[in-house]
Amino acid sequence: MPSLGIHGLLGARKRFVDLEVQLHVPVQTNLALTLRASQELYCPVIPGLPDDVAKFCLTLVPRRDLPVIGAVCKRWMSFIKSKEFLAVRKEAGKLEEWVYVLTGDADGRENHWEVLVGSGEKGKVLPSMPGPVKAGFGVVVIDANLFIIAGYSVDIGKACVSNDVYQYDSRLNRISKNYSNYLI
Amino acid sequence: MSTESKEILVGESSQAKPEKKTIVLMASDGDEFVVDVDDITNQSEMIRNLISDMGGTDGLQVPLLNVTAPVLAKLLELFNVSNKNDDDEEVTQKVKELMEAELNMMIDVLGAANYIEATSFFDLSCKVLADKFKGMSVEEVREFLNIECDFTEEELQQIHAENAWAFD
Repeated sequence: MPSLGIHGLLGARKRFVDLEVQLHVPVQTNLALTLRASQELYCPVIPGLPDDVAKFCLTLVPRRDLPVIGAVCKRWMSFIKSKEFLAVRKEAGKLEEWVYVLTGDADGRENHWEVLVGSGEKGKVLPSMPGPVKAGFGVVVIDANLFIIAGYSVDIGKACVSNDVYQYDSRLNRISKNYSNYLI
Repeated sequence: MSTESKEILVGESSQAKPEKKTIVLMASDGDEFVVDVDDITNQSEMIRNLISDMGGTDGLQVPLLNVTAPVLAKLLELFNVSNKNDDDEEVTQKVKELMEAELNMMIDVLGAANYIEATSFFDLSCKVLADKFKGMSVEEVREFLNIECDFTEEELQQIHAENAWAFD
């Protein structure tokens, strides 16, 4: 079993923007269907305001309050998760650079992700990804999402190849397991 | 030729002093608001461009089809506060007060500011609204803006379960 050590140092999610097109990774299987359905029925983002104005207001919300904003209604959540949100936020000069660091011991145990934020804020430790402890996985950052892809589980006694994909969404501050069957 | 143009110049400058230049803004319901040209062009990019396109302000009437009289009156009142103060503190405070007292009016004023491209006032008002969400709970945001929660119980549980950490 190869040692894990410090596995990866990734930053600058913007650089990976193009990868999304190639990977065809859908967003949040469970919610995607319902989100699509809701967009067919028109409802304003904020009642009384043109949508572009309302969306601009939402992009000005401080990052720490975004998980709350994303849980208000489907329309808001789909906007926060959109590329449009990132584009407007970038224009407003509110985009932050995050560096994801994977730390762990030589056996691949006790590894966890840390997030280093510029702006002098204290770093955050991501809780462990759900499921068995894995090694040899792929990592990619697309827009504001960290994806941890496949690998093999290193549970005691057996090594088992995994096709699970985990996603951490830094806007909504959520970790979810995604589209296991997507990868062959 | 040269004496003629001189006369016109003199005539203009002597007229400009006693009376300020004004234009008329017409609200969607037909009400007319006479406003000082400097005051309004200081705020509204749209009207500034319109005046320069029209080549002057003489007898200019600007119909604002999307803005009702009460909203326009409130917007002009806030422009006044903004024009009278060098910094944004006072007008920010007034927008906040309006938001707390009459949210719908504040939202209409924000829409009108967007319509007439009152950029700096617009940015400031958007920030006031965005700042209002600071530290609010999901329920408080919904109640504040009268937004219906359209998540199913299951989806809400999923959102809750997937939350990685609570921001402190």
